[in-house]
Amino acid sequence: MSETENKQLLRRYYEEVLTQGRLDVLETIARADYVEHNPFPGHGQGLEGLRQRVNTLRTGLKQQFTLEHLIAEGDKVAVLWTTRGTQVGEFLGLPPTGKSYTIQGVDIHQLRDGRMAEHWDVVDMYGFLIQLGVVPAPSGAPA
Amino acid sequence: MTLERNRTSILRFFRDVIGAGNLDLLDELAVADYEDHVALPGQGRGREGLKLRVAKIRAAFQPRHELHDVIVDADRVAVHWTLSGVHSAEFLGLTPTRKQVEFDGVDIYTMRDGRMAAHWNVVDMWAFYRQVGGPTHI
Repeated sequence: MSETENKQLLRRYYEEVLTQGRLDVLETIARADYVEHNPFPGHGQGLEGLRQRVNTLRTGLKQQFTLEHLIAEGDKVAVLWTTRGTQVGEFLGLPPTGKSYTIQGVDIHQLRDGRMAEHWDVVDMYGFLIQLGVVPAPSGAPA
Repeated sequence: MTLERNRTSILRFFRDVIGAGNLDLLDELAVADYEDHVALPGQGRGREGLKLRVAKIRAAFQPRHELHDVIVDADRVAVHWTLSGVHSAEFLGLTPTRKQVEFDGVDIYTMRDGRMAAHWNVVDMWAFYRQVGGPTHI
């Protein structure tokens, strides 16, 4: 797979899976032995773990992704996204707040044989928790 | 080749500028009108602002960056790192705690003629705030 094809595959993940909730697409775009390096608490690995992750995200949060940067080299793709969302359900132990937020994150995807194989991420959880009103914004820090 | 030139510039930035404090090297590695989309409060504009930013981060953390990935795609570079250090000076309103800190971030740069031209990032500040024991505001 070329770097362009790898980017295209990941666009499907954000659009069809995360946004539209088509979990069946995961069987086509992710490997059975998918490895999540930053799993949510209690989540498993593999394709089933990935389904669990998407379910948790989609149940707790109603969100729209904008892909700001897709940077690919070989079988690695970094994606910096902005998400505008609302916490509509329980999420990682937080009862639904109904609050809206805008945050950014970066996913690092490792592909293998044209499918998603491994994942790392850095997400602005601090900004998320501040905007949900779960933690106070410190003075002097940008919210 | 452009890709390798871009990669080399970024690696030198992390090793020689952030790591070793050679701020003058930025005259070579960054364009004068460098644009930071995640500027620190008071950073100021352009390459001179970037020098201030690096000095501030070095003073705040005495950082060591372990680079996990340097992904180069035409004129864009993504760098995934773990910073380890000691919280030694004021940073984003938090007075120094002298605590050991370790957190992840990803920097994204666009490059022009092999030089850093614009910057975005996402940093796990939640990990940082938890490790320094939460709000101890100025």
